[in-house]
Amino acid sequence: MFLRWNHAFQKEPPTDDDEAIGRSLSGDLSAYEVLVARYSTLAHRTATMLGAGDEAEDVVQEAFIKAYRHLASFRRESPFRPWLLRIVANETHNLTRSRGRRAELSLRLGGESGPPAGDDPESVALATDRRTRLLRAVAILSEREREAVVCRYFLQLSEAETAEVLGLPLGTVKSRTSRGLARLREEVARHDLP
Amino acid sequence: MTSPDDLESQLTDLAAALDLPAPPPAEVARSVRTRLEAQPEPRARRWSPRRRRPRWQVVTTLAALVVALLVGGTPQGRAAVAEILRFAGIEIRVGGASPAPVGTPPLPGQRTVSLDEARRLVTFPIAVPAGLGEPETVWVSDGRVVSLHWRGIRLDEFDGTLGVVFRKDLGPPYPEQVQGGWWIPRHHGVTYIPRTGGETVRYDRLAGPTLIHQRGRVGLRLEGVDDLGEAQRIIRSLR
Repeated sequence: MFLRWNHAFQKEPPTDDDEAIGRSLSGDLSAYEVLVARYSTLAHRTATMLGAGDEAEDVVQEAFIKAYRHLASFRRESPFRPWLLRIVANETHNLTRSRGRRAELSLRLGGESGPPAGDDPESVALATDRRTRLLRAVAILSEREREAVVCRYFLQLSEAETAEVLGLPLGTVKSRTSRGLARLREEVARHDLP
Repeated sequence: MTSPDDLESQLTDLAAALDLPAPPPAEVARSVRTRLEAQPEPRARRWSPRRRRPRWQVVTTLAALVVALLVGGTPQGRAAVAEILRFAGIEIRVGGASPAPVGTPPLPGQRTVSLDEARRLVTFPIAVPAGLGEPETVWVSDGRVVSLHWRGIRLDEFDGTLGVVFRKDLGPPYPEQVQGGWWIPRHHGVTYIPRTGGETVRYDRLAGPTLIHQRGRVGLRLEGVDDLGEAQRIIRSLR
């Protein structure tokens, strides 16, 4: 009782996930806001990269609402990030399925936002060209392989996190990732030939 | 096979170069909070497994199925009504003649309320398009339809999972499927189906171009914006 009272009147924003989750569970919406803000960008990246397209914003909001509703089922000793991203991935799947079509990867290369590719204009152009080809190769991977590659390298999740986010056994993540990489290698090599 | 190599670092590199627009985190946090406040957790039913199943997904799937079945081209049964489309609590009948205009009579139990009152009166989250600002007038009707008004523009919001709320009759061609909904580009008849059911009580009016959209479990119909792009911008700005 005292603990709950204490939580409700705590003014400082929560510092780590576990504290934010604990306070959210006791009904402190400000604490949950902190959690949402903390993971918002990553959640949008995940939804967009898994195929939510223009509807990523809706997907992310819905995912955060669901996460809040199911917060009591979250195991506090495990990390929050993959648990949340799994909800985002599920929401994205629901969306693409309800649209009745395969999740499309529609991503764009940013103008100058990438890491520096070189100094002279020629190597910049070359790097952009290589990135464009690689992006196209990722986009035409099968959905299963693409999801694994996107989680591992675009979102930089560990194999274990990827397994949790996609709801797959670890072995499946490993095999899909390596099949995806092999296909990408083939695709890129094909275009590198003169 | 997956030994660290150039390809893996190229992929990481590529991800950093992608253009991924995302709204400001603080804004997302605020929207989520507003929605959570508008619809607090029904604690008493927390244990119920039924609650856990998001019904709108089932409805969306069913709607898609109905569309597939009917639009998929069954030539039989195309008499007065050629095609029926159900989406987000709206049934669209294409093929019959558009009914004669009957003005804009009120919906059952329609009354003017404040936006906050409306939020307390219905069970679904009410979204307001940021692009239009605070609505000038808000109506709640039949305990389940919220109508937001701005000069010449009307946005109806309702629970899109509870069966048919509005019926629309229009002549061909078929409405256009757009991102997340349907666009009816011309004037057509609208019938409100009261919650209590029954064939006898119907409210006809003549609606202009309308964008129908589903946002979570909420069905939306936006009327009074003649340009599809503009209508979609308004829908996208819902917060």
